[in-house]
Amino acid sequence: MDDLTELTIADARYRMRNREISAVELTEAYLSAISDGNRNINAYVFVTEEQARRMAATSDQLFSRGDERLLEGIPLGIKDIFVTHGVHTQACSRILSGFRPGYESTVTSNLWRDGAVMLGKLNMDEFAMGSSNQTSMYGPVVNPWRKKGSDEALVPGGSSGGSAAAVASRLCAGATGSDTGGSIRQPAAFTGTVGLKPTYGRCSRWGIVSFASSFDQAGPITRDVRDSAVLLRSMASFDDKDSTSVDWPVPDYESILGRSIKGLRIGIPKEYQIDCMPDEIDKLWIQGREYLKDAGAEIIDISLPHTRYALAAYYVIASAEASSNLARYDGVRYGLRISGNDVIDMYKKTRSEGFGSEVKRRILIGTYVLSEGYYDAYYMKAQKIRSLVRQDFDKVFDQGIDAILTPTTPSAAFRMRDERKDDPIAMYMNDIFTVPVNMAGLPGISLPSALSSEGIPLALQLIARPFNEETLFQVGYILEKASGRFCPRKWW
Amino acid sequence: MCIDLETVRHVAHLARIGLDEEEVFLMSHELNSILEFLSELNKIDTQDLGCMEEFMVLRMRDDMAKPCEGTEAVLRNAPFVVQDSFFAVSKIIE
Repeated sequence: MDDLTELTIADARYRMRNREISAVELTEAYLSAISDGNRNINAYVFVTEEQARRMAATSDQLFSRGDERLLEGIPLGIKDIFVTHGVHTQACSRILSGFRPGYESTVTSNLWRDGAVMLGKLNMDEFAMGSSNQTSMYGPVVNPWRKKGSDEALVPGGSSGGSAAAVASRLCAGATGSDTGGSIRQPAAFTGTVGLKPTYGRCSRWGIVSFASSFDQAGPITRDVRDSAVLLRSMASFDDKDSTSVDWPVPDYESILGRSIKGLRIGIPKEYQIDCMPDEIDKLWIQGREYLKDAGAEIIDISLPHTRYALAAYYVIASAEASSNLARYDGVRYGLRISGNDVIDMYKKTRSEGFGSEVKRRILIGTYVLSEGYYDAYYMKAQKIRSLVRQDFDKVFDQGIDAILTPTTPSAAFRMRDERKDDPIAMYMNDIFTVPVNMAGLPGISLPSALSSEGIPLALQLIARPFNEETLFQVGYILEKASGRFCPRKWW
Repeated sequence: MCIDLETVRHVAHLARIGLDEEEVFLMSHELNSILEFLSELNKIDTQDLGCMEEFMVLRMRDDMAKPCEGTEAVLRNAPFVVQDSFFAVSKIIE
């Protein structure tokens, strides 16, 4: 039989429903791919072999009775930020060492309810803070893509670097990710995969280890647009346990694929044309406009004037929220504890040992901007700018723009030993095109759109109105058809 | 605006993160470069802007008792427990 790990979710679903392959065969194919390839990619930090086999066997029973559910037998990888009942959940931080949750996140509960199979927990930047997956306590994830004629390791992006690398290297059929400032879309761009950040409130945050609660949102990383639509339908739900979850019907996203985009108005924001952008990315952006124009869309120049302030304002608010959220790691209720002379000394030692440098930096910045005397100058100011960024988007949508087209990142994947590793600001610049979307709570999707001259993926981003994920799939599907799909040559 | 070593020590104490002197020095350097980056915010005048727009409407839940994990399950993840029913910490009151 051919390699089952090459099947997309939609293909695997079709073949299982036609009884051409079984769920157990499919899961075994992935477990064997993980056992062969994970040591080179380092995408999984914990493989749930027994659970996967048990879930797949249940799926086969349901298939045999004709009772299969939406995602029956589809093997998925789960980012380590999702709380999974009784299973390793650490957000790749030393401070959550040994934590075994007594409950399950709403997003993963939805996936299991629909018959998906859990292969294991995926590597990520510690507490989702990072853009290269180099801050994980489990070590860096290696991008399955390499530059032409080179075997030097590239970063997969972050923070959902394990999710993106696992999907690109065929170590799972699809994966969950979470996106606070670009953590789904940027690694998707670096690995030639499709990454969707839904509207804030579309997926429940219950059971996702909190980083910056007013930005955090779960979403799928998949091989193509159709698979993204299939997974979002299951992941999205209204949840009473998350007060920011929105009670809005979840459509059958797949049914929009293939619908014409004739007459849709696509905005091109001039502020995303930045000085340091490589020519290749500029060309890619122009090519994207051409594809959409050829398909009948109207291309319109727009302005989002406060874009340049978004990144700095984001780092103020996200760090402030992180410093508050991460106060819960006190060495008392769960995870790591380092004894001290008194309780304050114990907190300090535990948090000093338990958090890595990037997490400490963000907690300190967050504490600083919230402290007496600086609150108005930084935190309040950043919140006002956040409103301005949101109003920029509101205005262009009010003018009748249906979707906005931008590059996802200002560069392709960089080398693991890149100087950016030691320069926090250079690392933050990765998120320059993705952060405004989180600031405004909008849905955004990253689509692989070309290979660079060095043979690695480049990507475009589409942004839509709140709860208009359907538009992203509709337009994304057209772009995907025009650009083709991209798959790394196997070396792992 | 500049963060000196004393400010780093103070903020680290507020955040309950222990730093040795070498880390204090390194952090002050890094935090200053981050603050310089954040100074981009000063280029825009927000003086006349009102309070931030409330675009996140938070929903209130009914105040109803619901079953939850028992004491045993909650304590299972604690690094130190006493008498099987309490989180253990060092003595706080002299």
